[in-house]
Amino acid sequence: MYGLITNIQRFSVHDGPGIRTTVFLSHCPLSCEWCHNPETIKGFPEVLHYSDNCIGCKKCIEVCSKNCFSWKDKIEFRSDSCDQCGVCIDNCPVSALKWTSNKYSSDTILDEVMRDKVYFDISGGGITLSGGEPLQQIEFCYDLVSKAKNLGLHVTVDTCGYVPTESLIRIMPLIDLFLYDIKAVNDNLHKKYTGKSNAVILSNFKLLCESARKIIVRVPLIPGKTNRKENLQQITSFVERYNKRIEINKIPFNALAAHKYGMLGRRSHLS
Amino acid sequence: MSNVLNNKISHKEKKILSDNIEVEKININSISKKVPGENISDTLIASISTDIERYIEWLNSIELSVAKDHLLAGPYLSPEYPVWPRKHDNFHYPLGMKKLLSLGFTGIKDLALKNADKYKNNQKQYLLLISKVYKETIKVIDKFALAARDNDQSNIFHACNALSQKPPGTFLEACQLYWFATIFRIGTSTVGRIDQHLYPYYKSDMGKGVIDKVAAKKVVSELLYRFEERGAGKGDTLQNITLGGLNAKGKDTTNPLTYLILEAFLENKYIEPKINIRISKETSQQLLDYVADLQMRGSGICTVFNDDVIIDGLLGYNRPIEIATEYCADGCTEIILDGMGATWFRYIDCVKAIEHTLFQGEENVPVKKRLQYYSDYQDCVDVEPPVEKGLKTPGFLTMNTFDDFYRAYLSQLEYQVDTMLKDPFGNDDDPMRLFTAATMPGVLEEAIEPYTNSQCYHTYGLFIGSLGTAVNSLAAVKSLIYEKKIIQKEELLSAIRDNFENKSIIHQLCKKAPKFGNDDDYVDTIAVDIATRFASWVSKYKDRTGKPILPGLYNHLFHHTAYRVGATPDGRKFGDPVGEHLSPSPGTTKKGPTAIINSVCKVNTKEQIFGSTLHLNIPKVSIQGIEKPYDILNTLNKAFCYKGGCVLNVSMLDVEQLLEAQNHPEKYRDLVVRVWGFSYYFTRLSKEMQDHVISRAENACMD
Repeated sequence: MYGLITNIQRFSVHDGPGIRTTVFLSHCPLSCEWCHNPETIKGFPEVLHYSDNCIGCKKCIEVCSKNCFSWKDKIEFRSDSCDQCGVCIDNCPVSALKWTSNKYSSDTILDEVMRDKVYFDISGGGITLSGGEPLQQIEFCYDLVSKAKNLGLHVTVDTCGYVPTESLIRIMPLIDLFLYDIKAVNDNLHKKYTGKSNAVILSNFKLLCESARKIIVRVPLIPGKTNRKENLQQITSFVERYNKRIEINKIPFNALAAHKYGMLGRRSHLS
Repeated sequence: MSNVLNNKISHKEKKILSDNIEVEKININSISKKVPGENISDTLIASISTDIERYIEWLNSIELSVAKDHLLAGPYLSPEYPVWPRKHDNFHYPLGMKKLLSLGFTGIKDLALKNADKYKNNQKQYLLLISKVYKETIKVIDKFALAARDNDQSNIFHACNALSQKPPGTFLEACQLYWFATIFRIGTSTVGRIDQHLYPYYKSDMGKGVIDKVAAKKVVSELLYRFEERGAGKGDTLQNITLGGLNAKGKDTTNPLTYLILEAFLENKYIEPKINIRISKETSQQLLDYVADLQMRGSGICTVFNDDVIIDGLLGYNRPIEIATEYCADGCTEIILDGMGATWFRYIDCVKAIEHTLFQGEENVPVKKRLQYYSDYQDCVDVEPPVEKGLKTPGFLTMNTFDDFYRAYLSQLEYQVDTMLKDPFGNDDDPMRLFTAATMPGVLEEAIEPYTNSQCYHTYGLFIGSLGTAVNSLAAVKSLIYEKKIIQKEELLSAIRDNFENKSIIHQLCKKAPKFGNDDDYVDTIAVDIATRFASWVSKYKDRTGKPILPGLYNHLFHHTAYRVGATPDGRKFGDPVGEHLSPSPGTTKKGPTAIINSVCKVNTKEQIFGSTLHLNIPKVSIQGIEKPYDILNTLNKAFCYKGGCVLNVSMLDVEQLLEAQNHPEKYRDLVVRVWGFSYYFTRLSKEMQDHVISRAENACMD
């Protein structure tokens, strides 16, 4: 089975226990204004411009019918009118233009993942599915995770929780650890920051707790937004209502992600 | 250690050393070639007789320092003291410390004298001269004893007094002998397996209650501090100690003294002597945790040697198990057999061979450049390839398949190996000073000097470094020219001639071709193949004692290599860094440390036993904020050994910090980084070496 993947990152040490390989799946139902993986939001491949590799040959300007490219001492890329026709990518002589995501079979992914099996075994690591919202591609996830379990891998899923409950119920028994993002308990704030209500996120969290799944809650600390004292207190008391021993990890804001918006021909909301 | 500065070795020494160097010039050509078993020549006797007079004069000039707050007698050796003075000994090997400890100065003097009776002529003379040298050292020790008595230093008095009469009996006496031997040897060298040398004395004293751990640690700290003082300003001092390791029965020899030495080293934040740790499947978690702790300091001050590969590998090169298990680190990370003999090496340049393949044995652009050795306090030296011109292989344009190209490349490499090894090499022009020679196996017993003595196990070797860069070039040619056919041969040649100037498309394509260190079999299999062939070419050659020459994937002065080869098909421009040792080319890996280790461990390093080293930088930021960073390092170390890696040195530096240090050196005076066989202050490195270290840190920065 094939999935839409933006990256396979080896030596991942922040996404679950030990040394892991993190597979980033494309497509996310939320649109958090601080998103540090904007290339994973869309459910289809977009064009990325790697300015470090660009040699300024202007071939892209020549071939693009939507005028996405312009020249101001260097190539400038704006993706507003891009329809993902891919002509620019095909014509770039030095691969400075690439798709954000590509189709990978679960077997190809696991071949890459298994290359680090020794490191997983020694460190207690394994595979992490992240994104995007990995469970958006539930059929593919199910296929990948089933095969990973057969290979004896520890499986972590990094989820925003905004997934159909039946998807969660189906895949839950195969997952060793959920990294569960909670951005806000106040639904108005949640809608404001992410564009979606948190109702299903909170109810799915309850379900996981009741099913005694291993969970680590992750809260992105966005200055002036999620990192406000009141918000953090609400999250803590919400989590503790279901399980007092659940670890809550606060994740510092990653300002370095801003450059990715430029590569996508967009502006960051938070720049 | 307040009065350290007052206790440096006398300045007379410098003068005598420079006199010695003059003598060497005269004698070099007059020393006849020797073959195994041949008696000692007249010229050798003449040469060492001259040396002995100067040596004795020097011995008597040693300052009789027995400072009040010191636990050991003998001056601290100044950092200004010349590193490896070249008169008798190349200094690339440890003393036969076990022999010296067990016989003592007196035992060696007596045994030499006794055995002299069994021999005639020059052999007799050789042993008598050894006896004479040791008699003089004992006189010096006696003088130290008297000075200590006059100074009311009863512990030092007793230790010196004992050493002037018999072998050491206590831990303090053994440590005192260690320092005397270090002074008497002249010049820095590797120290060897110090925890094994000194442990019997520690154990016995602890058992008898003569010493406790606190007192022992003070002595150990002072001994280490003496090495630190002497080496810390110098960098490439060869002062290596090697800890732990398996014995011939397969048992780990790590002992309480191993940990005591590490505790003392860490608590005092020394950077000398350099720490090398032998690990294997038998190594305790406690020792592995020390390794991780040293690695976390970031500066690459700890090098790990994999016993499971190296001992096996040495057995494959006809070193018996009880000899192989005595291996230790020499000056850099080449391997030497502790107290068994010397080492000497040559190296070939596999990146230059790429150039020779493209240009039919000629250089791309003749490169003549002068660069500092590695530090801004050093003079410039000529940057010259070991083999300037290669074979006249077929023209690149006539090569129709990658096989043609690869075959030509292999003949260029084999040609370099043959050029380097066709003449027997070693220390034949550089006789071993008698103080040192007496501690080597068989010398006192057979009256045969060490370099031709078959009881000695020297490690003579040939190195091939920067393999990663050469392999990247081959992969680029294979992929771009012969498989994808997106670059024409003429285009590549002209781009390389022009150093990729105005050839940005070709340059980018070359840079994007597959690279070693990304766990990509397309490239890695080429490295595996070249390494195996290299080992088989080298195995045709033997050293002067009839033992095989050892191959190794190692090089020093790799920042000079960058300036003696023009642009290469991997997209590297003239002067851009090349990979060091068995490490990937700087800045070319995208998948992080696990992929780098996987690539490197595909190479059969059991064949490359002279030392095949991976310098791995793990950016500090990449493991920031995680709960147990030690576990991550432990995992990488264990996996490296499990996968059959040979030698590993881990640094933890961030590119941003290094760039900042380059721009604002005044803020980073204490930043220490790995160079080749040593760590050194970043801000005191030459610009070229700084740039190399920065690009190395870019490896393991992932996309």
